[in-house]
Order: sequence, then C-alpha cells, then structure tokens
Amino acid sequence: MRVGLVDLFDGSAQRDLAYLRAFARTAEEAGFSSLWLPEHLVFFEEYDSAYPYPAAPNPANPEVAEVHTYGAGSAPRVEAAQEQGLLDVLQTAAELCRHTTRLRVGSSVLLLPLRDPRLLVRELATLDLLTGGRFDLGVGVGWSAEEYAAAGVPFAERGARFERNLAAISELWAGEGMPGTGRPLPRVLVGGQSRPAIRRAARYATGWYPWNLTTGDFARHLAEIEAGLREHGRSRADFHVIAGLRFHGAVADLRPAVERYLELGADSVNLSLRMTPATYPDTMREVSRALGLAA
Amino acid sequence: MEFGIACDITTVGPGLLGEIEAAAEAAEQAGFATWWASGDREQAVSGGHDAVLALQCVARATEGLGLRLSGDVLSARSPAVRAKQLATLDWFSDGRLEYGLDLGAVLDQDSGETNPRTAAEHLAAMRALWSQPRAAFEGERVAFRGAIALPRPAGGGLKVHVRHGDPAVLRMLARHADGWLGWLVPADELPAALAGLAAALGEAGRPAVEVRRTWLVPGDEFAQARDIVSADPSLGVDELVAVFGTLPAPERVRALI
Repeated sequence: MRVGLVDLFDGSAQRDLAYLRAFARTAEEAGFSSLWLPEHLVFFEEYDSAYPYPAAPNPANPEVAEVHTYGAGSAPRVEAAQEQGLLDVLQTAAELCRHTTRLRVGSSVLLLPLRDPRLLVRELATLDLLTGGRFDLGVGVGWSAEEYAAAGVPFAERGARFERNLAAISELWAGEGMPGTGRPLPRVLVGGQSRPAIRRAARYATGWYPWNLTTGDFARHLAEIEAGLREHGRSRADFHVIAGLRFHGAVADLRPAVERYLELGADSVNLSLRMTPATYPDTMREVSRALGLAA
Repeated sequence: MEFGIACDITTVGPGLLGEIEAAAEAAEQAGFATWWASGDREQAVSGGHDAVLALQCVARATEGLGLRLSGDVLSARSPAVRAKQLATLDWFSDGRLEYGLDLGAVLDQDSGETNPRTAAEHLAAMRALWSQPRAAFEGERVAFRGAIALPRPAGGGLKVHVRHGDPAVLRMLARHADGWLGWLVPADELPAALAGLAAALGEAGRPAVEVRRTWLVPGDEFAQARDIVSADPSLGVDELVAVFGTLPAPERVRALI
C-alpha cells in the first residue's frame, strides 16, 4: 500500500529547518511513500474567486461527499491561516530529499500557467539530479484570479497556457540547452477533475491526481481517463493515478477508505491530515499502524 | 576588499550535489566572502543548472558565505514566482541572499518587451511583496491588493545589484539598486565603466558610497585584477570575484587566495 502525505511548510518559526528535516525523516521511518507540497505564491485577505474544493468524502463513507467551509461565513474558502506562508515548492523538495533516502516528494500542485516552461524545465532538471530522481511534478491550473494578477498572467488565458506549458515541458526536456538531456522526464501528474483536466492528463501527462473525489466520482472519472489514454494510443500500465484526500475523520476509518480507492485503480493515496508541529510524530505513527505501512 | 567566486554549473552526473557542497565549503574555508551563481544569459547558452537550487546547495554546505544571483533577466520572469523563490532561498540561507539583475537586451527578441522598464515594474512588485504585511501594487501588467507573501526576506527585502550596461541601464541602477556588477568588464575598460556609473549616480543625486562596486573577472585573470585594484584604490572596487565557466574543484578555489 503506497500512501503519501500532503502538508504545509510555511517558513514560520514553528516550522523551521529542523522541523522540516525531522518531519521528512519521521515520514520515511513511518513508511509513507511520499510527501506532497501545495503551492500558493501569495494568499489574500479577501478573494473574489471561488474556492473549488469545499467538499470532501465522508471519512466513514467515502461514497458520500460532505461540505467543509473554512473560516467565517458560508462561502467556501481555501484552508489557510490568517498569516499563511508557504515555502517555494522546488527548494522545499530539494531539502526534504537531502535528508531522506527513499521518500518521494511531489508538488500538490504547481501552478503551471504561471511559469515560463523554459525556466521550469531548467529547475526540474536540476532538481531531478539533486534528488536522485525522487521528484514528481503535480501541476494544476489554480483557481485564484488574484494570484494570477500578482504573477502578471491573465486569468482568462489559464487553460490555454496550461496546455501549452504542459506540452512544452516534454519538448524542452528532450531538447538541447538543458541540464536534463538524456535522463527520463520526472513524472508529470495533472491535478484536478474538471473535464479539461481529464482530457489533458490523458493526452499529455504521465499521471492524474484528482482531489477530494468520492469513490463513485473517482471511478467514473478514472474510466474517462482510461478511455482518453486508449484514444491517444497510450498505455494505462505506464500511467500513475494518485487519489488525494483532505481527511477530517477518525484514524480507524482510514484503512477501508484508502483500500477502496486502491481497489478502484489508484496506485497510491495522498492524505492531507493538517498535522501540527506538536503532534505530527504521533499522528504519523498512528496512521502508519492503522494502514500497516511500516510492516 | 572582499573576494568571491562565481560559476556556471553544468555537471550532469549524480555527483552534482557533492561537488557543489565541496567547492562551497572550500570557498568559505579559504576566506571568500561570497558565492555568485551565473545569470540567465549564461545558463541559456551553457545549459547550466538553475541558479536558485544551486545556491540552496551552497547555503546548506556553508554558514556565513554570502549568496548572490548575478544576472536575472527579470522582465522574462513572473514577479510573484520570483519573489517566492528568492524569499525562500533567503529563508533557507538565514538571510544571506542578495539579488543581481541583468537589464541588457532581452534574450527573446520576439517578445518585444522593453527589458529595463518591465524589469523595474517587476522589481517594484517584488519589493512590495517582500516588505508589506498586506501588499499592494498597481502596474501595467501586475496588480495586487491585500496580498500576503510569507515568508519575507530577513531584512524585509533583498539588496539589489545590477550588471553594468548602457547609460539607460546605469540610470536605472542609480535609481533602484544597491550595487554595480562589472560582469567580465575588461580591465582596460574598468575606469570608463566606473566613470559612467559615477555620472549616473551624480545625476540621480546619490552619493557614490551608497552603491557597492563588484568587479567580476575571468578566473585566470583574478590575480592580475587583484593587483590592479590594489594599486589604484581610487577605482573604489569593493569586491573582486573570480568567474568560472564550470564548477571549480576545491583545490582550484583554494589556490586563488
């Protein structure tokens, strides 16, 4: 059973370098297969943009979705502290891998339309060498028009830019002028479950990384992915599927839920548990025992 | 006067990390003050490694060595992306990062961008993100209000150096920068280059002492350059940096000073 953790490294005093290194080692020792790092370049006090993932599967019955709203008011909001920070994903990945030997690290997800693909591929190539090939590139479109404006990228162009950049990654990696020439491209997983995301994953990516889908929706969208792979003459065997979940429930409910996604065709499951600096070692070990990861 | 090392890193084998760490440790132990990554312009030609990730390796292997970017073509970069990357590197290095800009002609001639003007807008946006708890900025291409960009650099910003260039570049430098980078300026052109800088600072009403002068020379000309600046203190060079096209071996670093 391969299970990854999604968590935040925010650059705060409570989550300093020692914390980051200890977190990675503890996760590796507890048998988790990977750590996944969310990306936001900036947060905002107020958003006009709607947060698209307010619902998560019910922990005791992942066939059913339940809505979680964060913060004051009833509008769905991104789950972020008032003074939320986040370290750069790629540098954090390099640091986590430097202090572990087996653990994979991925982006959950990197906002691809905001990147220049030439610069990103150079970064990827360097990171691939520094991590011994342990980095997985999860990519997404994002949802915050405010973040796009801060990056100087028109929000209306996000879909076209995503698709263009996704295609460019493979072309640039195979070309000259990059330090990655000759090595395999890291896994590229398209995040999300919108119709365009599913189409792009099946056509361009080496994996799919949906978020907070009920088991029924997961199975339905995975069938669409598999149909898309067949349409493009691509092999399902070489395609990675990671089910991502924000898990709010009791640890006792985890094993049947994770097993259900794996039975349906996920290669692994990523869990966001939002652990604290005080409790993460115990929580990791408890979850590991419940899932039988360290065996 | 202080001394530094600058290099492009083109190693592609699995020993990359160890080689960077060994060279950086040697530089710090030999008494160098800074380690400079090559710029976008050099990496585009050499196929070299990403400067920020390479500097993160240098930071991990050292305790006090200053980390420097030498030539970001900022007009080609997203300000929010670059602000996050640099603030993070400053965090990983405990406040040792300074930032170098290349305001020369754009790399991609098809973009039609006016490099210095776009770079100035992007730099202003980044400085707002780095310094304001709820950042606000309104530019031609970039705009935000109530933005929270954490962590911020240790000093609420980064010192900015600009590569030597034409009078327009020097005017920008005089308005916006903390340092001048004489990137591979030939020795016989150094006095004129510094005179141009002095003129631009004079026009901007800035005292010359406010702007640090760093002269970066080919590694095999380092000793000669050292003699030149030692013999003529009026040049006002604050730092001399040996530039290498590839990562220097530790023994080569140690042999420099």
